[in-house]
Amino acid sequence: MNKKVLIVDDEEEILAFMSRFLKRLGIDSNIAVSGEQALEKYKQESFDCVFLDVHLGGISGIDVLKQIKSLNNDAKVIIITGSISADNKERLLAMGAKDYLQKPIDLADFKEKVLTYI
Amino acid sequence: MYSLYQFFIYVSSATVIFLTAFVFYKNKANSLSYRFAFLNISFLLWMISYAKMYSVQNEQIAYILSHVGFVGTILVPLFLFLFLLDFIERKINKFIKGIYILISLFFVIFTIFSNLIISELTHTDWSVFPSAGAFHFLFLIYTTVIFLHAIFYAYKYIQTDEITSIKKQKTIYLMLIYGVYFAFFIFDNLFFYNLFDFEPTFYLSILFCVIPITTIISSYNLSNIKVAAIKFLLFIFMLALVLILTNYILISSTNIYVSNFITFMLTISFFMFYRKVINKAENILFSQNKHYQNILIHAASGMAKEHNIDRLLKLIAIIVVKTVKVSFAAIFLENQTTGNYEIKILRAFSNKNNELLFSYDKNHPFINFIKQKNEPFLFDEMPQFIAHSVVLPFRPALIIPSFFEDIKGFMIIGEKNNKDIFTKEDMSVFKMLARQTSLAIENCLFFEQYKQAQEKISAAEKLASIGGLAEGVAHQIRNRLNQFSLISGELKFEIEDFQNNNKETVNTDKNLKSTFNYITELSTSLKNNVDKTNEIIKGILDFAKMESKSTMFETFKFKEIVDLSYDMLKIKHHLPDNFLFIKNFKDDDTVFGVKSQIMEVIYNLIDNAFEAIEEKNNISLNKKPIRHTGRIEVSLIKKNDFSIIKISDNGSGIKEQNFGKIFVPFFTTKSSRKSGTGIGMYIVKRMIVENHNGKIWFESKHMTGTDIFIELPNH
Repeated sequence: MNKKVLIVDDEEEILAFMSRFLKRLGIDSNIAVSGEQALEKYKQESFDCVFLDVHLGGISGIDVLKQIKSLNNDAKVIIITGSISADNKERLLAMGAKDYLQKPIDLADFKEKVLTYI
Repeated sequence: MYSLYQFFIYVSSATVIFLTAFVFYKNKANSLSYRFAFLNISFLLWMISYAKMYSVQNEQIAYILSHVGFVGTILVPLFLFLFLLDFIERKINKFIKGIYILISLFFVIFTIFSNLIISELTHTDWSVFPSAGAFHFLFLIYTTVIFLHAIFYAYKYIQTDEITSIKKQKTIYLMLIYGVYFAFFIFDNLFFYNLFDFEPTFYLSILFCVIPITTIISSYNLSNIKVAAIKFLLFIFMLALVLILTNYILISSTNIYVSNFITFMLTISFFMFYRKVINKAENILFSQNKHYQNILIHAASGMAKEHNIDRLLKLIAIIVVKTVKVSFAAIFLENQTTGNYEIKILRAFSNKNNELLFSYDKNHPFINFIKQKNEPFLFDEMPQFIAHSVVLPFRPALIIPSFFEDIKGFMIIGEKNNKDIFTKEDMSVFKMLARQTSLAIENCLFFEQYKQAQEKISAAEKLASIGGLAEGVAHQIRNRLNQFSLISGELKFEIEDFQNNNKETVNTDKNLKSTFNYITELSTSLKNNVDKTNEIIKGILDFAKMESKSTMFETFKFKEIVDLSYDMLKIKHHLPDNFLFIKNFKDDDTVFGVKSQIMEVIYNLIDNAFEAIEEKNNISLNKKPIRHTGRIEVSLIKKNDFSIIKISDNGSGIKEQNFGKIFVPFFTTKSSRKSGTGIGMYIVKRMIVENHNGKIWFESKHMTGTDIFIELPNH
């Protein structure tokens, strides 16, 4: 089965770039522009990992993380965030995120993380 | 048996004794006081002998007393002469002094042992009184000579240049007193010629001599004396006028009612006109003073408009010097930080503005004296030892303290050019001037502080508004950067993929290959710029974060934050292989503070260290191709109350001219091709100093390395 990644970000262009990039690597992806949409899609399909932007309209990225975790405790969620500091990272990890991706996104970094968590 | 006459004489004697003691108390026991004492002893000898002689029954004793008393009389002119000489500090020829003493001695001997000067007693209506001897007139001649000589010396003295105005006034008064007393003295001696049929008035003339002399040598404010003397003279004149008129009317008038009425009217008019005459006299005397006093009063009210303190002081000094016409005016102000009194302006009448450096320590005796006095006083009033410690190019005459709450200072004024004394009205005008000056100075200082505060506020507002915008704008810009980052990444991968899938085509066509390489370079460059822009955003956000103080203090392991910073920076800076990162502390060593902020600080400093090493490499690369081993050492020194963190690098160091600017916001030496906004060190310092009550400092040498030290309290 092909690997599948869920990308959640409130900017469509970002989603387009990231999914196109994943395609280049031969990885399938699905996109969501809001937390609600993300949860809907997550319930419908299965994903190997989720890349989740912390800043979303509607319900916050953190809430989405919690809900995904409650749906599937083993879910691998990588948080995309603009600012990270030491205790932020710990908090996120404590809440269930597997890792974080710093904005502005370095595609090489992205590639590394995707290949790790898939 | 006492008579009223004797009583008066005894009262006069007691007064003389009292005044002698008073002068000793006021002037201390200097030579002037002693000479005054000798003079008074002669007076006392004269008075008491004659008082006793007045009522004694035995004529033999009366005779002896009369001669003994006259010895006192003989010594009076001599001692008056010597007193005046001491007062004008004149050292005369010992020869002249000797002659006068010898002559006096002659007269004394002849008085005691013969009847040549004073002869037998004669009986008068009131008692007995001696008569003049054959050579008494010689004594009168001698008296005249010695008096004239004394007055001559005094006159010469007031012509000199070094004389102060006070001394000049005092000498003039003494001359007047001596002149008048001389007349009285001669008059008193005429009693020996049996010319009058009333009791001798010598005790009155003695009082007239002694009381003014006492006032003159013990007092400093002579304007009182001047006015008092004039008032007294006017009083006597008017009284005499009234008495003579009434006498004449009573004698020549027949109608008792008319004469009484006229007398009554004259007496009343005397009292009414006396006041008016006195005021008129004062106005005439002080007209010149009133002129500049008015100017000063007007100037004082205009002072508050001047807001620049240097201009204000200059204005005051110029006004005082030009209107009051004094030799100079100097203004001293308290230095707010050191507490010492520094000269701010010195304006002399003759020269242009002088710049001189004077300062009086806040504990200087001169300053203490001023603070104690707290109102205008004459320089001469100060004790000698204080007066000598005040060194100025011009001789000071008047000191005017100016104290108003926190503003302290004083003005020193020189002598008036015409050597006039400072009157009571002068003093009160200066006092008012001093008060206005304090208010005006306070005004100026307040304006300056206000201006500074305004500048601080607008600077703070600027920063705060940046901070406020920062969060929102930064987030927006981050999102755009994200796009750029993805775009540049995509660009690169797109090219890569194409190159991989079309190897032959690309390799054979040279143009194609170079074009693709170029595009790859461009996308790399784009990515780099995105990263740098991100750093700037980070800097601004950090700055905004600063405004919200975190109070979450905790003890945490130093190793944690150093490791974390190092990890993050390793990636950022792509460390070469031969790089040394030395950790000089134990794994469980702890630090107390706000963890996130200390993390921020350490990250910033290690980042700077990395960049300094890179810069040094780049610079040496330009000159000679040497790559030295980069080295960063992080140490932690634990003391009882505080911990010291030291971060050393062997990078490019800091240039000495930049030492003072390191912690200034927006200062950076990094060229625009590198990252950095200059906010870093400013934030670091504020975090350490303001939030943690710590200290931060550095040692650095250009092209050798830098050591940064941070001191953090342990609790």
